[in-house]
Amino acid sequence: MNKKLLEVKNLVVEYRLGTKIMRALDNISFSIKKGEVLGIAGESGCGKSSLGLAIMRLLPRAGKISQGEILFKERNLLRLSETEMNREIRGREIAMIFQNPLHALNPVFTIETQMVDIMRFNLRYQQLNINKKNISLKDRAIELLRETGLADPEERITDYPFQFSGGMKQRVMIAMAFISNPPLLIADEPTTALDVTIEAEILALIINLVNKYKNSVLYISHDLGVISEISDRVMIIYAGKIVEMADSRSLFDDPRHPYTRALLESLPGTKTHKGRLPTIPGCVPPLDKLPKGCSFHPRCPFVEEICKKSTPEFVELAPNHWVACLREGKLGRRTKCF
Amino acid sequence: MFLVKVQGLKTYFYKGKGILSKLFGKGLRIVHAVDDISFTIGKGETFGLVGESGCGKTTAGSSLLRLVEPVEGQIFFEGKEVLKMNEREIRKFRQKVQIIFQDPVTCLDPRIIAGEIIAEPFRIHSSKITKREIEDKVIQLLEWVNLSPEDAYKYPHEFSGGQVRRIGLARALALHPKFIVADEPTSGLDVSTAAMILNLMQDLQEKFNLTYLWISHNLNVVKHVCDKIAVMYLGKIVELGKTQDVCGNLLHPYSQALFSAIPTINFKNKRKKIILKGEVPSPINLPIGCRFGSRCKYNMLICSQEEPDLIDMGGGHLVACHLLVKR
Repeated sequence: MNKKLLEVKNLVVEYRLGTKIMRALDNISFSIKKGEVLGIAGESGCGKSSLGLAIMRLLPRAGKISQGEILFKERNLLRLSETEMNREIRGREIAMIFQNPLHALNPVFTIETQMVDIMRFNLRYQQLNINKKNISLKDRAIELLRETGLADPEERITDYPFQFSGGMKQRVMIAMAFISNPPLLIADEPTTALDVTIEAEILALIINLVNKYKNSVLYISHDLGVISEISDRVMIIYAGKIVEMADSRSLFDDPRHPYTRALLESLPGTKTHKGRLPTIPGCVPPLDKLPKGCSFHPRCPFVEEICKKSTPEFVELAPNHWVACLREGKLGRRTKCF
Repeated sequence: MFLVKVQGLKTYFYKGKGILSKLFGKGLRIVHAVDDISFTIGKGETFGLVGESGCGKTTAGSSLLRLVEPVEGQIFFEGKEVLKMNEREIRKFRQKVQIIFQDPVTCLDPRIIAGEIIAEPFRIHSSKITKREIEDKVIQLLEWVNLSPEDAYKYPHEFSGGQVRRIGLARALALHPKFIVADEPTSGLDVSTAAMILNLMQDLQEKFNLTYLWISHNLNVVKHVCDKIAVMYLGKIVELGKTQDVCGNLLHPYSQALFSAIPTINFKNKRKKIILKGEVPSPINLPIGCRFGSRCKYNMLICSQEEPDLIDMGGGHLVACHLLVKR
């Protein structure tokens, strides 16, 4: 149980734009254990999605992993060739669910064709299901769809993606991701485009599948509510750096980094009715103009001279509670806002 | 005193009016987008309209401004009936009533600078105004929404998500409206940016004594800003009341499920989620009886026979559910 499934070490991702080089991810290190759900939160443009794409090695052409290691089952993914990635990792060992299911499904093929195709060419799937040779691939696809809660899958499997609603498409995506029962699932904002009721269903579905098959999940979202519902451990990213990482409970009950605190305080619905919401002044700095020292210092209410000069180290403040702030521990306990 | 009063408003869309449908004999199908809703909004109040996508919230909002023509019902604004107004009166009415559209980027012309976008309402509605006056007004509007005067010369694509919303807000404020329909004003924004927009809209409300119709699917936001909430399901209001009453004592099974689904960061308060089965039925072939019946766990015989009416459960807390009728 304690074995690390995925370990990311000192990962640096850079985007090249003309002559400018922008660091989207700066020295990211973390690991995921088997059966664990790790939530990644942060504002837009902080590098959450780049992290997911970097692990799958699907970064756009302008993006490059310039440093670091991604160890999956003790194998460095960055050393694998493109063919090896396709044959052994993508969709087999690591699967990904994207934000917009409409863009991730092929509009000119039925769900059946798309699912059966994956099964036919997925070696991991075939190894897992050697004893089921006598059941047709279509029946197995129907079975998977039923497991994700799609209503009458026998009928719907011959439909095209446009005939499904947003929530249903996301279920199809999840069913596809689970075809090979991947040890690691990367979910990049899978519920952002959905209604709260559907969102609750999808979250329950992912949690059920995780409990059943003991998969690990890397859950990326900007919605802290969702992150707190689903994650065992949470990582907060700001401007390409991890600023805080802790167990879900201790992070939300006792956030130590000023950025995490500010994010939690600005959520509506936790404070008194109609009261003014605390906000974070300014916005996320553009990646080519990161401030010196701690990158959060221009927006930080607790800023001191030292924050403008030196970069904070990532230290373990309490057991398993890591924070990157020069003033850690000196902020005092947060006044409870709910 | 109420500012807006809506009575029995119905807005339908007709599908299959075209030549192709007639040729292939599909016949006329009616989409019941808004089906008989009534509510009143008091002066200076914020009225929240919540529900899942496709329940008719946005259509209700645009029907109020007659951007979509309702088929039946009455809308009163300051005592005058909106649906009986002629072209001229409508123009006057639209100076007092403004809308902030859902998608801020698509409702701003990408080839016009922000200053021109904000100046447009003056050009349309007030003919006796000099260039100089418009300029001053635009600068003042930009100040009100916390943008700088230099921003007037930028194009929409140069702004961030939060700033684009501010421009939409400045344009809506230009003619000193009394009533603003805000359609999802914070969706798609980061939490801290959303908080800034919420604060700004509340400040402006105080400053100009504005009345808002707040359409949103984000229940946390609605809970935070609204005085009254109406929960819509498939074109109908199923629960309506003061925010404290509704949030403190959810009565309709649909509202209970909807509010239980809100993700929360508060570990002490984690509620058991009510997961709804199935999907929202089609607004073309409406189910007989209660519209929520097929997904409701308390489904009774009467639910598939009669449609429940909105009943006052005390203190203006209206609920439409057969469960709550005393027999």
